[in-house]
Amino acid sequence: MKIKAQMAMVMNLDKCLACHTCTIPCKNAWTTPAGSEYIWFNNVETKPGIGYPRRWEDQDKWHGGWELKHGHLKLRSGGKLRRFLSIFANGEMPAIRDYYEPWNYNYKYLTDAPAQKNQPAAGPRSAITGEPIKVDWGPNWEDDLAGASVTGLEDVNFRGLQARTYLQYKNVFMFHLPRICEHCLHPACVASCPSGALYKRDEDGIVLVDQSRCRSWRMCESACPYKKVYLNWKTHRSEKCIFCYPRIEAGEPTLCAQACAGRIRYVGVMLYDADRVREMAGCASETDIYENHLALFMDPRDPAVAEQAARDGIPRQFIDAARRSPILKLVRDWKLALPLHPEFRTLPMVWYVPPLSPLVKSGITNAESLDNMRIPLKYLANLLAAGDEKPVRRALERLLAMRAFIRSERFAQNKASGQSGDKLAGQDDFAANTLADPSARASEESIKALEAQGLDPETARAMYRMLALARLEDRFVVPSTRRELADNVDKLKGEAGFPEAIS
Amino acid sequence: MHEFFFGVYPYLCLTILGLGLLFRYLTTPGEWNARSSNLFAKKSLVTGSYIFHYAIILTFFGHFFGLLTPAWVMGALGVSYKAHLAVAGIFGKILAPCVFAGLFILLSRRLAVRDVWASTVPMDLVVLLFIMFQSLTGGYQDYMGRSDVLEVVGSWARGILACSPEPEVLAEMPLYIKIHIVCGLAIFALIPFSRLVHFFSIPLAWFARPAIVYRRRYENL
Repeated sequence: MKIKAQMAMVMNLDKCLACHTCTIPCKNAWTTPAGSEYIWFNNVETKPGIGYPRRWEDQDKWHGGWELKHGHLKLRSGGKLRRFLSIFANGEMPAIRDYYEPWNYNYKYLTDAPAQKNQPAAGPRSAITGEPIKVDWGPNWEDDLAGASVTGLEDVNFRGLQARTYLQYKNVFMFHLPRICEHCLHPACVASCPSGALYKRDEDGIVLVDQSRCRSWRMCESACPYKKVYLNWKTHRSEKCIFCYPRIEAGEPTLCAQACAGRIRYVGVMLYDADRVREMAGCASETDIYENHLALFMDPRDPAVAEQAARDGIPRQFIDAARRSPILKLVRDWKLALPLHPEFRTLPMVWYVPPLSPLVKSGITNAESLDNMRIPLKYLANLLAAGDEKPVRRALERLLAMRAFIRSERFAQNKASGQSGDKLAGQDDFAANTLADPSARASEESIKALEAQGLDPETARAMYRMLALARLEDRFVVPSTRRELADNVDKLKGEAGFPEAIS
Repeated sequence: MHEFFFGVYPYLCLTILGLGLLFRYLTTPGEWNARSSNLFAKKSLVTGSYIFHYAIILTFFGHFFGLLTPAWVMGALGVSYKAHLAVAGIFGKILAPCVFAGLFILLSRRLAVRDVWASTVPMDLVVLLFIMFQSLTGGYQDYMGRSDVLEVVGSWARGILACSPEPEVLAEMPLYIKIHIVCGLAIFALIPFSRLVHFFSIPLAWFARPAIVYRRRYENL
């Protein structure tokens, strides 16, 4: 056993409304220079839809991720020898039109245009060639289902469903999917890099491209099944989400997580057994990958695990953070969050709480509600559980039971304190896990529903605090790197300046 | 003049190559790459790049072994000059047109596709045109050249590598061969200042590397 630490994220899709507030600071901080205009480390897609780049999920087209071949785990893009011999051109890499051609508006023309009969207009111009272009795709092109009646037909998550039926106006459903690099435990991009420029940080699992070692072989662009490694067309080097590692090292969450207006993002540490990663990713059945992935995670609240982690060189502050990790609760304890496309076998580390959705008919019992939601379970299962509905059902049932319980308990509390039913009882009562009037309890029915899901009132309140209140200190538990211990700082004093940036 | 080009100039080019690579590696390590334009106009790149690269690699090894293997080694291996010439002739006749065709696709794509053109720097065109020109003079030798060229140029090249240059050996050679040699050496000198640096990054270490690379930022943390 070899325990490693991994920075991970959970996004609560139930609360994402695609405001793109996550995208803005990310774009501003990391990908504004010429050559990286088309690169979005963070983008928010609307599902159903084919996303950015077009049809990124369709691995029959891109051959990204891993596959099981004769019982062995292999990159889907082929063995090393095949890729070495075809290093001269990559036919499986998305082209700029698959992402979109970046553009600017010629605003200057609005003030500089000569006198003319009509108002001058600032048309889009290609950021690459400077010529006028017709804009026909972008990182959020299908926002709120724009055009999805056409593009949605190519959405691979409709596997086993009638896409045409669900794209009819009366049946249509939607939810949003914010995406960053998955910082996988078993990253295909790292395995595909001929020059060893891509690596996984030993201390926190963040996957990075060493910019001074990237030789522009561009294998990673096609090997990443999430299409989150990009080729900068000006520097000709690959770039990708860096999980804001300078902020993470300083104990701060990523920019996207900090900016999130809906408080849907959680950042924390997970401990996992690095020795079993390959074995677990290489199981026979695609639907077992999720359970295997869960089995890799170690519980740092177990003293034996904490001791082993310390022996494996994980700093104390990481182990402490792993104990309090919101990811541990959402992923392992409550099993509310699920990995994105586990069938790619990269063991992604950005997980998603599936969204609840409105009921399609009235007059149904609580038990039936799950099968009568606007978003078909099968669609969510194809997205988050390799087509297996069981984990999605469990997560949604738990969310429903938690909601019913909290509603009932709050109603009883309000009634006892003489407030009208729709007025909120003090939220601090929930935060402290104590009730203003302990005798005013939730209904027996709602507690039974909780117990049927293997939950108790205390856990339900904790889930409520984590998901609904989502306070800053609950969402982000990031250990800071003790950089002062890395070197002899007295010796370094006065000699360590900023290195020259790589041009 | 002849003395300079075939006695001094080769060493000049090789020195520029060596020192240039060192300079480039130390000053701008981030720019040491193949400058791929794979993001734009994929199909034409796949066709042109495969044809060109396979042909040029075989051509390189053809020159390397064909010119630098001493006559006595060839003799020991039982390869007569006639057989050597025949093999070189067949390969040359196939490869020179392939190199030219591949480069023609790559160059026309670079000129015609507007986003490839927008990401082009002058040096990209210089190296394309240089190698294209080489394939023409080389192809001329393969189809219409003299049969003693291989022997003469080979012995001259071995002299250069052995640090005993004999420029007079080449005195009788036709002009196109002399131009081929001068331009070929110029390409060596261009390597450090162009995308051609990727010759020296052939990822052989890849085969020995584990699938997942872990690296630490701070060794003792």
